[in-house]
Parts: sequence; C-alpha cells; structure tokens
Amino acid sequence: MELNEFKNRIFPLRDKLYRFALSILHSREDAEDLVQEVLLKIWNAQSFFERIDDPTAYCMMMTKNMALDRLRQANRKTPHLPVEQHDAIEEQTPLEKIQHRERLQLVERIIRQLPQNLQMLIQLRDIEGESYQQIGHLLKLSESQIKTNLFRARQLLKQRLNNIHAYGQL
Amino acid sequence: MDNYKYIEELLDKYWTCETNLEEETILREFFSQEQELPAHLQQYRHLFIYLQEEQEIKLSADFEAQLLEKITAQPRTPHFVSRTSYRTSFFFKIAAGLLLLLSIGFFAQQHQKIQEQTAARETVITAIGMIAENLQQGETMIDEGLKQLETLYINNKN
Repeated sequence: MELNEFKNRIFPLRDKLYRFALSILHSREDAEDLVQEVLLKIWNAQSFFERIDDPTAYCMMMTKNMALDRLRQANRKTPHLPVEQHDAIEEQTPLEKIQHRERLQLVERIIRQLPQNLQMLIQLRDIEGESYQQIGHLLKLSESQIKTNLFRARQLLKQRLNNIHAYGQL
Repeated sequence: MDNYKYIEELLDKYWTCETNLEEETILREFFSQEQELPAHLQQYRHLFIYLQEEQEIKLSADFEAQLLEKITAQPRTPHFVSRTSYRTSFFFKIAAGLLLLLSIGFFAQQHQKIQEQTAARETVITAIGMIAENLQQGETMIDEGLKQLETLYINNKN
C-alpha cells in the first residue's frame, strides 16, 4: 500500500476511530495519541493489512482493544470532558447557553456512569450509526445479545432522565 | 399534541430498540432543531442533542500533518516481524540445515544398505546357478553311467 492509497483508504477513518477511542479513554490527548499509534501500526503492517476484507471493522477492533488495554493499564478515573461548545442556537441568552451546556454535561455524565460495555453500544449505535450486524462483528456478540444490552442501556438512560425531570437529580 | 404523535411513536420504539438507523437519525435531528417542546418530550431533548453533537467531534487540524511527518520520518519496518522473530528465524534456519544434513546421511546409509543387499542377492543367484549347473553335470554323468551299466548288462546276458 503506497502513501496515496493509505491516505485514501485509512485516513478517512481517523475521526471515527478518534471518537471511539475517546468514548473509552475519556481523554482527548490519549485518544489522539492512540489513533496515531493505530494508524502507524497499520502503515507498518500494510502487507498484512492488504489481506483484510473490511478495513473499517479491523481498525475499529484494533482501536477498541488498544484503548481497553490502555484503560486497564492506567486504571484511573478520567476527568470529565467539557462538552464541545457548538452554539448552534444563536437566539439563546448567555444564561440559556450555560443551562444548555450544563444539560449536555449532565447527559454525558449519565452515559459515563453506564457500564463500559453499554457505553460502547451507545457510542457505536447512537453516535456512529453502526448496524447491529456490524456491532456484533466488532464486539463478538450475537445480534440478539447486542439488542438485549442496548435495550438495557437505553432503559437506564430513560430512567435517569425521568428522575432528573421528576426530582431534579439522578 | 398530535403534531408530536409520530415522534412519540418513534421514541417508544427507540427505548425498546425497535427503531432502524434512519428513524434514529430522525429523532436526533428533530430534537436538535426543535426548541420549544412539551415537557414529556423536553426531558429527552438534550440526550439526542448530545448524541448528534458527539458525531461531529473531530481530531485536531494538525493531526494529519503530524502523522504524515512520522510516517515519512521512520523507515518502513514490517510491524509483525520483531527482533525476537529475526533471532527465532535464525535458529530455525540452523535447525533446518541440521535436519537436511541428517536426512541426507540417513538416505545415504539406506542407499548403501540397498547396494549391499543387491550385491548379496547377485552372489546368491550366482551360487545357486553354479549349484544348478553342477547338479545338471552330475545328472548327465549319472545318465551316462546308467547307460554304460545297461550296455554291460546286455553284453553279459548275451
């Protein structure tokens, strides 16, 4: 694989891999570093990589394994990420903007409180828009197992959002 | 309230994992665009906004340049062949060489044995041939002796 081919086939995956790594590591710096490591490994092992049928699935699998390894090694509680400020709703007053951002941070906290495997499902299905089949292939689970776990994750999210709405707390 | 019936249905399906990817996109887009919603929907609004915004997260702008710099700076080494495996392959080469020598030795020995066996067989065949020849000579001599005896017997009788 020449540099141009690498740029065309592998580079476009970088943001997807980054978001996936970020959802596991919860640190922008670590996630960026990890994606760089994954891409360099692929560049160096390209003769092996050329035989892979589905480069996206392979890269995602590699990212998942390496990110989980790092997480185990670090064995630390990661600080909360500030939710990216998009300011999409321009009519908001400064106070409304703060409230909006606080609510997004709350959602982020609820998701981060889910078990790791459920967080990964939310990331892959609701953020990356992967099919159940693709997720099953990546996590080595059957489609029915994926659906059962995702059902659990969404029910937990719903329950916590309902609690916030009703009682103002998690 | 009827305006939201479709979204409420989708939402119910979403919680029980019965929505497809397209319907899930509709939910995210709906909640990201609508600002004034009834309370029973408003409580889920930020979840879908969060999910929508997370899709837009990207690596820093200089990531590509940094990676390209690393790629061009380092020599292209095969990742799956480490120093250890080079060492291992060296020992494998020695082992393979030894195996080849042993095999050649074994076959040479076998070949020698076969040659010896062939020579022995030929000697036996020659010996048997000689015995057979001598036996035939002996038979001829006996025949001649018998003929002479018969002649003598007939002469004496007459």
